[in-house]
Amino acid sequence: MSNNVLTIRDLSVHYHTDRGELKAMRHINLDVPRGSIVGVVGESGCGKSTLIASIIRLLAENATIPNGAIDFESRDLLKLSEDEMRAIRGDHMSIVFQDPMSTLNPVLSIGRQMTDIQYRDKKSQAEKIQRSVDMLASVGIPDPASRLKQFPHEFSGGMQQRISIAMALQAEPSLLIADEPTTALDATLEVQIIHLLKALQKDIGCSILFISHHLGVIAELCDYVVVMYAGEVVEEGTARDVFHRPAHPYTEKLLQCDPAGIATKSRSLPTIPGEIPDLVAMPPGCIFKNRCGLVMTQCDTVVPQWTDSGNGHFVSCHRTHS
Amino acid sequence: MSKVLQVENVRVRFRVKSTMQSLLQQVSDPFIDAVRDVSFSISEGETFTLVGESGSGKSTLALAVAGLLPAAAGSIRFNGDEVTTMNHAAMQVYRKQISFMWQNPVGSLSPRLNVGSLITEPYKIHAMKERNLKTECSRLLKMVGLPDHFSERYPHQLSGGQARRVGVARALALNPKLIIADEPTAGLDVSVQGEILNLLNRLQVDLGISIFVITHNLNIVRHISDRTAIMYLGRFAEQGPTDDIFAQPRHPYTLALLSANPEPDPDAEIGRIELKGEVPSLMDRPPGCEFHTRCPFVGESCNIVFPPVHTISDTHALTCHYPR
Repeated sequence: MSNNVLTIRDLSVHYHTDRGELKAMRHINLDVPRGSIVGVVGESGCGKSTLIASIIRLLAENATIPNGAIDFESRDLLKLSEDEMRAIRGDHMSIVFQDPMSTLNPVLSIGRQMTDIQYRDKKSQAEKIQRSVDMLASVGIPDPASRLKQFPHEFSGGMQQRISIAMALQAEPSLLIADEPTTALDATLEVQIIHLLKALQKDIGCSILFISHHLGVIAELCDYVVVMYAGEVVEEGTARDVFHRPAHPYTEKLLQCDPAGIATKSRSLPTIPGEIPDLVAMPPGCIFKNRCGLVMTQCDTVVPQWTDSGNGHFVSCHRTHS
Repeated sequence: MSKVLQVENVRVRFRVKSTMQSLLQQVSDPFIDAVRDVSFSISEGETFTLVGESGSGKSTLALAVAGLLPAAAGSIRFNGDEVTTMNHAAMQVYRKQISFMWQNPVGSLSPRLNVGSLITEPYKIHAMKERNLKTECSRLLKMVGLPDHFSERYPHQLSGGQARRVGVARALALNPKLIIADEPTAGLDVSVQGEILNLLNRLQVDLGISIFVITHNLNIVRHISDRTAIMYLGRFAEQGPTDDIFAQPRHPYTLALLSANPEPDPDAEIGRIELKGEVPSLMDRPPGCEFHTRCPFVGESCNIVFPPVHTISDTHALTCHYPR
């Protein structure tokens, strides 16, 4: 059995649009080792949502996958039938979304929603309710038995996100995908949710693919970090390697931009000038060249190779070879 | 420095129970105070930042300052003129001098108007017919660093950062003395966030306007603001010069907020003060110090006596029994 819960190799996703083929994700590689938390960082439009949708195979209808493989628990998800995929979703892999308010059904009680999703288990209704009570208690909701009768609007945002996490972990999946689970929450609640995820991950022993654009949260929670830019993974490595020794110019700039990392008061904050290239008419060569301060001649024409710069710290940049 | 805005003991209330309901349920107070007894002032050319969690009353206070919500008590003075008692005509004059940058950059722009119409709309509303809208439009676009041809674009053709810039341009149209910016960087990527904050900083230096920023992003507060207030349950927990507050937070809530901020370094030493539980309901304010239910340093009198104002300097004050 492989050491990775999830292995993505050379995966590309294209969307058909009126303007032509939009290459939203190109040749990405990603590993989620068993029992670890992997963070995916990237700005809007970098392909984070496409990545999630392709893992759970819920891509939009105009999407095609020209090449690649998604290996989950030693099975290629792209080759499974719709029925087999349905058996995996929610049971072996589950998701916590960004906005808890729109994840939960507003017209059904929490208890009803939590027992409904246990439809696979051949348990009695009483056992299912007990399981829901236990889950709510484990995410720190006081007096869970009576709160099962309540509806989503009767909970605060932080509580709703805890309930979403409880529901996602109810089936003890081997992979939890967390799509910006703390973005909609305040700083003090954000910290509570991070600690909760970390504790639950230890208890259940699942792996987490944690997507966020908040560098501080990623640094605190994750073992490994994957940096995405304009539909490509540009860097991957342990959190320590990526945050302390960023190898790709984009990662470096992204870290410099974060005002949390600037200790002295500054009235002029660093930015990354320029914009993401048009993914319909892709420029040749390196994807980051138009915003990179360190371009060399080959960046214009040659696409950089995905290479190991040592100890599993991967990067795609020409500078690492020279 | 002269004071542009002076707010004293302002209270904003919302009715939550009808007269009949409160009679039947024997509720003595059918109102909640979203903002309770808040005082602060903003000087010319100064950035004042209001920090707090969702539901703490930040936006309500801003709306009251703009005259969009009535204040139940207290006084709001703008350049010496009382805002709370203004009639409609005086309000029109007042609103020419303040402007709002709304929280949702795309949502605050009408999808049916192009950028040119959007940023020149203030002139039409205030019937400033002598202005040449075309030249004003290109002047404003230039100020916020957008090319001229953007005036033809519609909001859905803008990125988040560009929509923000349009929001800034519209706020600048009438040469206001005060800009109220509600979460100016919410939903923006870090690289774009810097651009918008640099733009606001530059405009403030060039034009000498005052800015009232509302945010829950502590990372940006340190870099943009001169003075900061921390709000909890509609009251100011602590208020003072930004540098002092960041160097030595005195109120336990400020301390907790600052330490809750994850740093982009996996080896960062975390001396974190974690707050238990959630913000109490405004319908049922805790007795004594309203923060005592979550305070990690809660002492004897905290749950009985409302804490006194503790003054550290002329400009730095907090409400706590046991300041750090």
